Amino acid sequence: MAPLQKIWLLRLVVLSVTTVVMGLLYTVTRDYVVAMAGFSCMSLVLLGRFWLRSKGRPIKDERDDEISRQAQLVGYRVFWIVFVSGTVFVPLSGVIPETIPARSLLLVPIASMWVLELTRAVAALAMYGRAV
Amino acid sequence: MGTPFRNNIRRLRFDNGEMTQQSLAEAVNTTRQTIIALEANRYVPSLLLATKIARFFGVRVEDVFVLEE
Repeated sequence: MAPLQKIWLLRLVVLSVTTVVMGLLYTVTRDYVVAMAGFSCMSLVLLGRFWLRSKGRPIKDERDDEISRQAQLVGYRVFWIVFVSGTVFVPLSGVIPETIPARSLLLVPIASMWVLELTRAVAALAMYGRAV
Repeated sequence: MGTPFRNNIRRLRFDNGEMTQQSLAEAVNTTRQTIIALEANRYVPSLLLATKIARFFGVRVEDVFVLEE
């Protein structure tokens, strides 16, 4: 397994942990805003920095860069679809009952970031699987 | 995903004292996974990496990478 592949796997694990934490917070408090605070668990991806030990070998090369770039492209395409459709449809859906759906300002960007991270990680791991 | 290129990296490695993928990767400053992907014909390298590999084996780039018609 390529060193950078491990980092993408870590991102997927952290994303799963974050989702569980957000779910638990919502279950306990029944408040979207408090649940969104669980998104801060995403900062655990920074631990990947300590995971990589190069032992004098390069930990990434041009193929890793290409995979990251392509995963980024896929991720941002999906991000914008979710962000724009969320911004339009969440206020219309009635999930947030206020006249001015201020909470969607918090909900939509975080949900979009969640989708971005998920898409990037899945796309990168799929590309490593295909050995792009 | 197949590419229109095939390459002779595996043969060149064995002709050069049966060197390992790791040794070649270290010699051209890349990862072993990239050498694996190259040998499996599933990755087209940059001109820089292709030149490094060819120069390492002391052959021309066209002798390592062949564009299939």
